[in-house]
Amino acid sequence: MSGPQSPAGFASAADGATAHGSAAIDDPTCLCDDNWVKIRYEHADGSGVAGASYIVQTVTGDATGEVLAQGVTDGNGDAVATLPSGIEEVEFYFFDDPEGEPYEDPEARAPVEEPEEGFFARLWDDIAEAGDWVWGVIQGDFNEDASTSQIIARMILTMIPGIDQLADAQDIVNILYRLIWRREWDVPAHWILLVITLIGLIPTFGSLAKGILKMVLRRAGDIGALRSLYGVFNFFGIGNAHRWLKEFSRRLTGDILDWAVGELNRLLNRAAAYMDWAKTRLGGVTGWNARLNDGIARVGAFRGVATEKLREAATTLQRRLAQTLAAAMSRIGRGGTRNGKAHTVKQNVEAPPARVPRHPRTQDELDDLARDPSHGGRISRSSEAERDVGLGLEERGEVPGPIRRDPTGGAEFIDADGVEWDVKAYNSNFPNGFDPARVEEQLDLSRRLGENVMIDTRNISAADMNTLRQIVGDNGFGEIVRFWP
Amino acid sequence: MLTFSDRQFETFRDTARGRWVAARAPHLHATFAGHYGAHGVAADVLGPVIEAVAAWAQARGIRAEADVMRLSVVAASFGHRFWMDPRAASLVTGALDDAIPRSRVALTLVKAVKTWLETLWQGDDLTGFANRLTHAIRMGAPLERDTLQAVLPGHWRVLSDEDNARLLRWLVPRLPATLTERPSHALAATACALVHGTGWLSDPQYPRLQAIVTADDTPADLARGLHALYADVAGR
Repeated sequence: MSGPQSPAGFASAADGATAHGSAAIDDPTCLCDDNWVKIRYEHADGSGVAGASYIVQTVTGDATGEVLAQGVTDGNGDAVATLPSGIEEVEFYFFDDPEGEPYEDPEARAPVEEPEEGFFARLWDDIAEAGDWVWGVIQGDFNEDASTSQIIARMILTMIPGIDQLADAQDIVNILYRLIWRREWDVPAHWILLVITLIGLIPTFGSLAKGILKMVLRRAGDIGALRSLYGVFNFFGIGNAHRWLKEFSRRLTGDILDWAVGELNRLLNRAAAYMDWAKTRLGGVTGWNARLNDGIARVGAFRGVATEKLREAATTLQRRLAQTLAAAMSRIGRGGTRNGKAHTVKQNVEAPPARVPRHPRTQDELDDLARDPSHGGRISRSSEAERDVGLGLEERGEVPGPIRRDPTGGAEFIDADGVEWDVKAYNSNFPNGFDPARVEEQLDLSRRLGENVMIDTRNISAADMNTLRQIVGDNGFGEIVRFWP
Repeated sequence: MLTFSDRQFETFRDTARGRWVAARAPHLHATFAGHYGAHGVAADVLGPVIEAVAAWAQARGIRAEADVMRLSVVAASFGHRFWMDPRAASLVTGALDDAIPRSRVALTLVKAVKTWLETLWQGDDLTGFANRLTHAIRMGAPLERDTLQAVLPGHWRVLSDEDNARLLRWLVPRLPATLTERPSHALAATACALVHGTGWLSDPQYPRLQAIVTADDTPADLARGLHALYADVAGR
C-alpha cells in the first residue's frame, strides 16, 4: 500500500514536497535579494548527494528555528538558498536523502557450506558455555562417537542458516541456551539480541540491518548516534542512508518482524525434528530419550512465548532507532551567509560493532560504570579505563555479567554473582610502575579481603607480564585474578 | 517609477497562485497515480482541492510552496478540507500553536498525521479494511460501535473509546437520508469516513467510491463494488 492512506506513501509524498522550495505560492515577483547561503551535501567519498532535502533556518541549535529556505540539492549535491536580507548566520540540515541503489546482501543466508577440516573443533572450542548446554543435552550416559559429534555439529549449523561469522553462531547459540534452557524469558536483552540475530539473516540486507541495530543498541541517545548509523550504512557501500533508515524503522515491527518470527519457527522446527530423529536412532542409550524429551518440551514452552516477546523486542529497537533518527540536529551545520565557499556536510563511514554485547547498555549505564564513588562519582580517564577492563572481561565471559559499580567504592565492580572485583593497573613505562613486591602484596591483600582482581595489562611490558604471570602462578592467585586484554 | 495599486497587486497574486495550483495538480496526481487512477480521479479534479488548501494556508500565513504542497498531501490523506474534520481538530490546533513558527506549521502537521496513520494502520492495511468491511456488509452487521471497531480497529487506537463514540454521534446523523434508510450503505459510508475523512461524500477525490456507496444496490452488490474498488487500489 503506497497511496495517501499508507504511512509510507504519505511520508514519502510529504518529504518530496520539500522540492517545491520556499518561494511563496502567490508571489508575482522574483526575489531579487542579494543574501544567500551556499550549502553542499557529500557522500563519504566526497561526491555530492543529489536530490537531498534541506532546510535552512534561523539559529536556534535545534530543529525549531524559523524556516528561511528549503529545497533539494542539485545534481552535484549543491544548493544555493536565497535568504531574506539582514540574516548573517544560519543553520542548515539535510533531512531526507533520495533513495540509493538497491542493496543486496551477499553475506546473509549464504548457503551452509560443508564443514572444512577442523571447523567443528574450532566451533566447539569457541562456543564455550552454550556448547556445554548442547553437550549437557546430548551427553548423559551416552558414549560419544565420531558420527554423533558430526550429527550434533550439523544440527547446530542447520539451526543457523547464513552463518557468516563465528561470532554469530556464538551469539545465537548462547541466546537460545539462555532462553530455552535457562528460561530467562524476563530478560529483555536476550530477546533483543535474538531479534537482531534473526534479522541479520534476512537475504537482502541482513548484515546491514544487523550492523545498524547493534549500533542503535549501543549508542541510542548518544549525540553522535545518528552519525554512526549513517556511517554504518555507508560502510556497506551505499549512500543516502536517511530514507533507508526511516523505511527500515517503519518495517521493523511489520514484515521484518514477521520474517524473523518465521525464521525462528523454521529453526525450531528443524531442531525439534532433529531431536525426534535422534530419539529413534539413539533410543537405546540410557538417559538419552529423557533428555531429548525434556529438550522438546523446553523448545515447546519457548515457542509459546517467543512471538510476543520478539514483538516487544522489535518495538523497543524501533523506538530506539526512531529516537536516534529524530536527532537530525546532531548533523546540523552553521555558517555565515554570502560565503563563496559552500558549507559542507559530509557523510562518514563507520564499521558496525563486531558482535552484539552480552549485556547491552545505554550510554547512561555505561557512564555509571565509569563513575568512581570513591572520587565523588566523577568520571576520569582512569575510571573509564577501569570500565573498559570490566566490560572486556564481562564480554569474554570471564566475569559473570552484568557487572555494576560497587556503590561503596570499596571495590570497583560487583559481578552478577555478587563477587567484588578490584581493578589494578600497572604501567611499565613509569619508574616503579610495576614493582613485583608491591604487586604480590596487593594481590595477597585482595585475597584476604575476599576480592577478586582484574588486571589491566595494556601498559605492562612483555618482561613484566612474564613476571606478573609468575607471581600469580607461584602464589595461587589464579583463582581470583583475571587479565585484560 | 512604475507603481501598482493594492488591487492590481492582489490580481497579480491571484494569478500567481492560480498558475501555481494549476501546475501542482498534475504533480499531486502523479505522486499518488495508482490511488487516483483506481478512484477514477483526473489530475484537473485536484485543482480545486489544492486551491482550497492554498486559501486555508494563506489565511494562516503559510505561503511557501513546499508547505502548501505538504498540506495538499495531508488533504489527499485526511480528506479535502481536512481542517473541518473533527478528528483533525487537535492536530491542526496543535500545529497552529503560537509557539510554532508559521514556517513550521506544515511540517508539524505532517508529523502528526504521519503518527496518526502509523497508529491507524499498525499491522493492518486498506485491503484488510476492505475485506472486513465487505464481510460485515454481507453478514448484515449493524451500524454500531462494535462493528466499526472490528472493521477498523486502528481507529480505536488513535482515538479513545469515548472520543470515537462522540465522533459517531456527530457523524451518523449527518449521513444523507438516502443512506441511513439502508443500514449496509450507512455502515459503508461511516466506515469510509474513518479512513478517507469525514467529508468524503463531498470530496472530489472519491467519485468512484461515492458512486458505489450511494448506488441503489443490494448489500451484496455494495460489497462486490467495494471489494472490486479496493482490489483495484491495491493492485496499482
